[in-house]
Amino acid sequence: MYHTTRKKLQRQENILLSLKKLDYLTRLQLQIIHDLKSDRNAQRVLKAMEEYLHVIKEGENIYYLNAKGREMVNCEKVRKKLTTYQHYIMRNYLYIALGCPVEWKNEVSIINGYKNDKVSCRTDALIQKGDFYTIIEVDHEQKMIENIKKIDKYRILRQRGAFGLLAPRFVWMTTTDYRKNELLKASEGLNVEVYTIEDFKGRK
Amino acid sequence: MLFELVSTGSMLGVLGASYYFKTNQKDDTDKILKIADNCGLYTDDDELRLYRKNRSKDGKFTEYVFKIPLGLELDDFVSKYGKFKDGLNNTSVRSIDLKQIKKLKLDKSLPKQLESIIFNRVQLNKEIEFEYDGMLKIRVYDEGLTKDLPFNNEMLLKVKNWEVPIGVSYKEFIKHDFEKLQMLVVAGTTRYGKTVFLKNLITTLINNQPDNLKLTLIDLKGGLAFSRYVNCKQVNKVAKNAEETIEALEFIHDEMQQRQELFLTNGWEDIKEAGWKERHFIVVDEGAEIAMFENKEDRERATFLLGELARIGAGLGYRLVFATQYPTADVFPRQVKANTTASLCFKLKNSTQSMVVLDRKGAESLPVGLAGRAIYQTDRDRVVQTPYIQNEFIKSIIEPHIIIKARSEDQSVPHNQKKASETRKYITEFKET
Repeated sequence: MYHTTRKKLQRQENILLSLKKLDYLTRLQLQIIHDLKSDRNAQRVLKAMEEYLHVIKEGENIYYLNAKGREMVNCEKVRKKLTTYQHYIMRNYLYIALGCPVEWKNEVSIINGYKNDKVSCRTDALIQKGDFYTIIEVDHEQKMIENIKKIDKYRILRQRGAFGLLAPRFVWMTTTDYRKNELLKASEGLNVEVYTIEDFKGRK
Repeated sequence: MLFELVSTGSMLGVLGASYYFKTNQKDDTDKILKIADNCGLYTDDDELRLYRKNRSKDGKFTEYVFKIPLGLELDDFVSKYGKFKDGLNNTSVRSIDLKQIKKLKLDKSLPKQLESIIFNRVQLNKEIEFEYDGMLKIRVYDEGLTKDLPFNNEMLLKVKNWEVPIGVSYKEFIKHDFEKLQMLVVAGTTRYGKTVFLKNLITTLINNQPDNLKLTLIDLKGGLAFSRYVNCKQVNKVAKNAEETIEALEFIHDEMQQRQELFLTNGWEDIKEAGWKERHFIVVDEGAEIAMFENKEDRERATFLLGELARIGAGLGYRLVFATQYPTADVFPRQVKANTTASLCFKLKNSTQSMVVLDRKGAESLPVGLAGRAIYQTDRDRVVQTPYIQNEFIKSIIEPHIIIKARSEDQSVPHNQKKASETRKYITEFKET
C-alpha cells in the first residue's frame, strides 16, 4: 500500500473511532478534533467515508456510524436518528472546549449508599484525573426543576465524600442566558462553570 | 480336494483384491467431469477432456490434467471451487485399512471385527487446487486440513535457528523465519488460539536457541498466560500492567539507542553484519489494552515506543510479536502495521474486520468453533492449522532452562496482607453505561 493511502485509511479509522466514542458529531466538530483544515476539505474527507456513515442534514451535517462503520471499529452500540441528537452535539462542544481529554467518559452512573439512603445520579459525562473529578451536564430541553434536583443530589454526594477530598468541578452547558443564570443561582457554593451554546456555535 | 481348495482360495483372493482396489481407489475423473458438466462449464461443441492423470510420489494427491474448451478460462473453474470441493466430498466412502488385519484378536468376535474392517467408512475431506499452464491442472489432495495438530518433539525437529512452526496447510508444513520476517502480528477473536500460538512460539525458541534468546513478555491479560515462563533464564521481564509495560519498553528503547550508536561507530548496517547471535523478542499479548491505559502519557508513550520498535528495531536484532483481538488504529497504528511483514489471523467476526487486519476478506469465513485455524499472510495468504501445545509438554521443554531468580523487593507479596479497613460509611461506584 502506498504511503498516502495508508495515511488516508488511518485518518478514516480515527474519525470512526471518535464517532464510536462520541456517538454524533457535526462536520465542524470533526474538523476541529481531527484537524481537517478547511470546510471544503472536511466535506471531501467525509464524503469519501460515505459507506461507513449515516448523515442527518439539519443546517449542518451531523454524522453517526452505520452498520458497516460499527463493524469497522468494533462498536456494539447502535445509533439511530434520534430527535435528541442536539444533546449529544452540545456535549461534544464541551468535549472540544475542554481540550478533548482522554479520560472523558460518557454517561457514567454514580451510585452511593444502600437501599434506603441510596443516591444515584447519571452524569452526562465524567472526567477523572487522579482524584479530581469534572462533571459535565448538558441542559437541553430539560425542566429547570429537574436540574435543581440533580444539583441537590450532587451536593449530597459531595457531603458523603463520593468525590474524595477535592471539590469536584461542574461544567454545565445550556441554551439561553436566562437558564444560565438560573443554574448559577441553584448551584451556589459549588465549583461551577456554565456555558451557553452561543459560545461555541459557528466558532472555529 | 486340495486342488479345489487352492483354486477356490485363489479365486477368493482375486475377488478380495479386486474389491479392495475398487473401494480404495482414488479416481475422481468421472466426478470432476460430471460436476463441470452440471456447472455449465462447456461450450456448444466442446467439453472438458481428460488429458492425463497421475498420482504424486508421496501419495498425497492426484493430479488431473484437462484440456479446456475454447472460450473458457481458469477463473470459470476457480469460481466454482466450492461446487467441486463439496462434490468430491459428497459421500463417505468405504476404506479398508490393511494394517487393522494385524490387530485382529482371534476370539468369538472375529466376524464382527472383520465386518468392521471391510465396512469401515470414512468421511471424505478432500481439498482441491487449480492451476493453468496451457492445460487445466486440478490437484485433488486426499486429506484436507487436519482439525487437530498436536505440538510434539517431531515438530520441534523440523524447525531450526530462528524458525517457529506456524502449522500445516493441506500441502505442506509451514514455518515462520524470524530472520527473514522480523515482525509478526497475531489477530483474531478470543478463544481461537492466539495465546496458544504465542506459547508455541516461546517454547520453540527457548528450545532451539537457549543461549542466544532474550525475551520480554508483555501480557496485559493479567500475566497468567506467560506465568510459566517467568523463571526461565531467557526471560528478561514479564510485564503485567501499564507501569511494568512502560518500564520494559523504556529499557528496550534505551538499549536500542545505545546499540544504534555502537553500530554507527563500527559501520555495521544491521545485526547480521555485526555478527551478533543474540536476538531479543518482545511478545505482546492482548495489545489492545495499551489503548486502555489510565494515563494519557503512559498510553501515548507505549504506542510511541512500540512504533519505534517496529520501525527501527528489526535491523538491530529486536523482534516484535504483537497479539491483539482486533487491531484498530487506536491500538496499532497503520504505520506500525506497514512495518510488519507477516500476520497470522484467526477467525474474525466479519469481512470489515478482515479488511482491517489483512486488507482483504476471508478471515470471517474460517470455520466456526474450530480453534487454531488461521490465515497466515506473508507475500501470499495460506490457510493453516496451528499446532496445539499441551502444558505438560511446555513444562518438559522449559524445565532445563529454569533458574530460580531472587525476587526483587516490590515483587514479593506479604503473607499476612490485611484488607484495608472500611473507614467510610458509604461506598461509591462509578459505572459506565
